[in-house]
Amino acid sequence: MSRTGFALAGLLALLGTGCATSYQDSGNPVLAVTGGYWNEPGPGPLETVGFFGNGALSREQAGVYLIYRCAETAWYRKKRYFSAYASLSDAIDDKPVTDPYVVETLGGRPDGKVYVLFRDRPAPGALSTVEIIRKYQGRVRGES
Amino acid sequence: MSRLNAKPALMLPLALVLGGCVANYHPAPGQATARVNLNHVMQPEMCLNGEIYRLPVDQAGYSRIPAGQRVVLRSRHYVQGYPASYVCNPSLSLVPQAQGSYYANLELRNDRCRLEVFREDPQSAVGLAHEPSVTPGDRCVLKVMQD
Repeated sequence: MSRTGFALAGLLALLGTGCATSYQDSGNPVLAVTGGYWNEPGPGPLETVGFFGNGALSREQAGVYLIYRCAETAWYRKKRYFSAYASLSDAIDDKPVTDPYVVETLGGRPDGKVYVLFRDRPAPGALSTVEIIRKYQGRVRGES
Repeated sequence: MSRLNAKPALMLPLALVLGGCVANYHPAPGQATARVNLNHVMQPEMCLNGEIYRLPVDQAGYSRIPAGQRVVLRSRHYVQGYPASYVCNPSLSLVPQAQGSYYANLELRNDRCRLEVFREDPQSAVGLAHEPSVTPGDRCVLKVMQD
């Protein structure tokens, strides 16, 4: 293997296993090589929010990041509540996920997405935007 | 639900070869049709009366499919890159209603993929409703050509 090949393999190994994926935008070409959150409008009034990480990130911590990203997006939309659904079937049946949420895996790495309905008023099973942000702000910033 | 296959290097050329032989579906004049949103379905195809058709989409991501008869929808889903490379070919069948509007979705969870179709329903809080005619995992029985 050439010197460049060794350097690239070492970098990939470091990124893949060394440090757990932090809370970051997966669209960032520099910071988010190991993963991060993503948002996509739809279907319909829903917004799809996802988070994927590397093998060093636990499914539980990825779940915290995912729910936090939902709350952060609700905050930007000036919505006080949101319901997050693990599937479109659950969205139709109004069966939101509960907090704490644990994401599933894809290729051995944590990878989850939810379909989010933003709300102005409380609803059964809906999460409070402010409460989620307060609860997880420290963990997302790496303070605890 | 289909298990993700981790041998994309073998499957991609096969998919490309097979995909090259499939004709686009165009409804016959006067035929009752429904529309289905395929924005989140990679390489969507339809099996109708033993024939496989590719489903071309319009600018909004919708494709026309025949109404009033059972049709099989399937996807040749292939992704290569981080965090994983995988290929899967999920399918289902449904009986679309004339002028009906549907939303197709591909779910990837726990190394499995599933194709699903819902009825678009503006009256619903989430814009979708269950489609009762959907049957998962239907096989496409191909018409045997005689020499």
